[in-house]
Amino acid sequence: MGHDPFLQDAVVLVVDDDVDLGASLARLLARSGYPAVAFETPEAALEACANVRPRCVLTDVMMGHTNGFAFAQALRGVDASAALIFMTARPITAQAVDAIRHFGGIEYLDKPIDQTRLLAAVGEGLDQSAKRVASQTRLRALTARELDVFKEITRGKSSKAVAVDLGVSQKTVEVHRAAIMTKTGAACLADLIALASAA
Amino acid sequence: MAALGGWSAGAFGSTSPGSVARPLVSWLAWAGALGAYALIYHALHDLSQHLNAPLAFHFWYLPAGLRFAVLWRWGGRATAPLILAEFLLRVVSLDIALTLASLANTLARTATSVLGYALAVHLARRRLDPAADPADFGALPTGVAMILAPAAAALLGFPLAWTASEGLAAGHDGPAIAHVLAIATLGDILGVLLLAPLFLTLLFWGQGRRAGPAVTTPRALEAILALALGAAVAVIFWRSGMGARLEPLLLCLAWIGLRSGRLAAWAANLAVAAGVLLAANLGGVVFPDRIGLHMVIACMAIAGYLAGSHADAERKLRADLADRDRLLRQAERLRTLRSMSVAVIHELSQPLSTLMIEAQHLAGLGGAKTLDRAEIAQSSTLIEAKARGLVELVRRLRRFGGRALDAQTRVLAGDLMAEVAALCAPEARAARVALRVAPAEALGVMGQDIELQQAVLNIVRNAIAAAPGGVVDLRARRAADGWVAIEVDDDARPGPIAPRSGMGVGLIIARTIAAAYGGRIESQRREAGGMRFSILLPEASGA
Repeated sequence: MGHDPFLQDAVVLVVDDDVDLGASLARLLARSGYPAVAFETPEAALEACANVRPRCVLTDVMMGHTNGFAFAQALRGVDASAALIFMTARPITAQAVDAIRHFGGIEYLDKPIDQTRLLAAVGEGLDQSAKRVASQTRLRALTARELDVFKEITRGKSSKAVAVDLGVSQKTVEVHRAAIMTKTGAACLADLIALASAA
Repeated sequence: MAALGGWSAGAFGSTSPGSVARPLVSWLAWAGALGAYALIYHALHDLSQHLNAPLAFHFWYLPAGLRFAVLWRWGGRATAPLILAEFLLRVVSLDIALTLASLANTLARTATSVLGYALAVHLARRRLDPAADPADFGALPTGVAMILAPAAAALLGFPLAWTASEGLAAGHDGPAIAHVLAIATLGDILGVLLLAPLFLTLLFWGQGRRAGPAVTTPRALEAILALALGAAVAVIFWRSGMGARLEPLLLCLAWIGLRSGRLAAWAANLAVAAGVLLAANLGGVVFPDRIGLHMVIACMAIAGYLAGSHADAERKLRADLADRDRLLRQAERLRTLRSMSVAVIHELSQPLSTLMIEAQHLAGLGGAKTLDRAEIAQSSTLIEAKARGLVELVRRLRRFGGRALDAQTRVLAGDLMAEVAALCAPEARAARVALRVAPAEALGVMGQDIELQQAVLNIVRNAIAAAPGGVVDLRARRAADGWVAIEVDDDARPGPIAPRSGMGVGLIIARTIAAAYGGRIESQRREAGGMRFSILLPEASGA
């Protein structure tokens, strides 16, 4: 699966131990304008992630011995910006809540899949993912120190409080703040906060 | 007379007010029936007289059997017609003086006889076991009635005999009359016990349930041997001067009844009575103690009848229990299906997802301008694969819940394990249990395959429930000589098992099924933790 030519174009990864369903979903997504590749196991999918950055991952929750959520966490370690969509044949409410809140999923679908919801979720996920990637690119320009200041500022702290927290002078904080504004291209604090939440 | 006719016509069930033809036909019908009765009665009466001559006219009074059978079949409403028929027969055939006194006497005697029988029949049918089916004349009520009827007739007729012209007036005293009555009653009992079953079978032809025949060839030979043995002992007694002692045959008859049922006992009885008649008629054997002879033959008949009835009832009961067992196991399979259904329903949603997506795609393709063959082919292939899987699932489940109608066959252990694994795959997936089936050599066991599946399935489901998230191994191997062991291993961690409904019952049912096919179930702890359940069944070697 390593150098699959289609993999390079793939925008969505589908992970499900039912091979036929995986193939079916991949074809559906491709028809809808989202090139996709299907994997039977999370391990194979993670391996592929080394070569390509998927912007959206659609995964089954119960796959034999492997938990879809464990896969989600592993994926987050590799690529923090991919959008996650979970699907399951045995929907459980508590699990659905966990999927969204703890594992960062944007949708929890039960099978048989509602195609409309799926495609809407994929579209939304790709949007979010794109925004995140853009934000992260912008933040990459900051130095480590600037990043610290940025985090504190966007939490709503005044420059004075930040200076106290970080153990530097307020003037230093102001200098960093100006640099942050320039590098990220933000116009005001609100922009910075929007950037922080999108990242 | 007209009133009697009308009543009888009504009693025989034909009613159609306003139609003249109907009553006429029914009149003719029962007149004809009674005529037939009288004719047969007369023929049997003559036969008795002829056959029994050396012993006593009443040794084996054949007509009594006919009378009893008719009364048992039609109940109390046949009483009056029978009295009429027998009375007329007596008048015609016995040259009774046509005086009022003698006619009245004859009528009274006929009436008491028939009434006695009717009373016994009524008591037995209504009081002894009201729920019993009259067509089941092998049951106890019939046997009791058969003995009571002649006794009742004798009791009712005693006063008449006492006061009759042939009684006291002729100089016979009490004991002599009693002697005659005793012989007559015993002869009647014999006639009823030996002939009534024949007529009852004819009269109830097609009705009633018959349990299968218990007389197999070995049993028949055994019966003949028993009879021969008894006869030999009787002959020995006779030759050594102890007289005609038939008591040994009593034991033989009881044995035959217990082993081979009522039909065999009846045939043996007939043989004994015929043997005695033959000995008297042709062999010139003299039986001085006539009452004793009558008694012992009657006792033999009764003993044989009761023993046979008991044996038949037991056989029927066992057959009923076996039927009940099968129904119970089917009910258990349905219960298992129901409790597996949650997992199965979720399982269904998986293939349905694919079917839905591809079907909608195909529908969309239908509207396109050009035919994309590759796409159609791909969609169709996916649909077929998924649909086939669903069909397989449905067939498997339906078969499992069905009735175990097939006879026992040789079932391969490998097939058994594969089927069970497929049946509980949804539950295993739901419980995150890895179910591993080891490849099995060609080991076979005899049994009904879905019942065996039930037994193994129950054990496997228990294992899955006990070890969620773990591993369950299923394998079959040859255990000690001639035994096949199907083993289910689980790796449950020790500690409280989450309570799950039906866990205990499943094991009980599995044990019952194993026992039904000659096997058993053993369990042991595994050193690595968890349990091993072994289902041991006798091996059936391939043909």
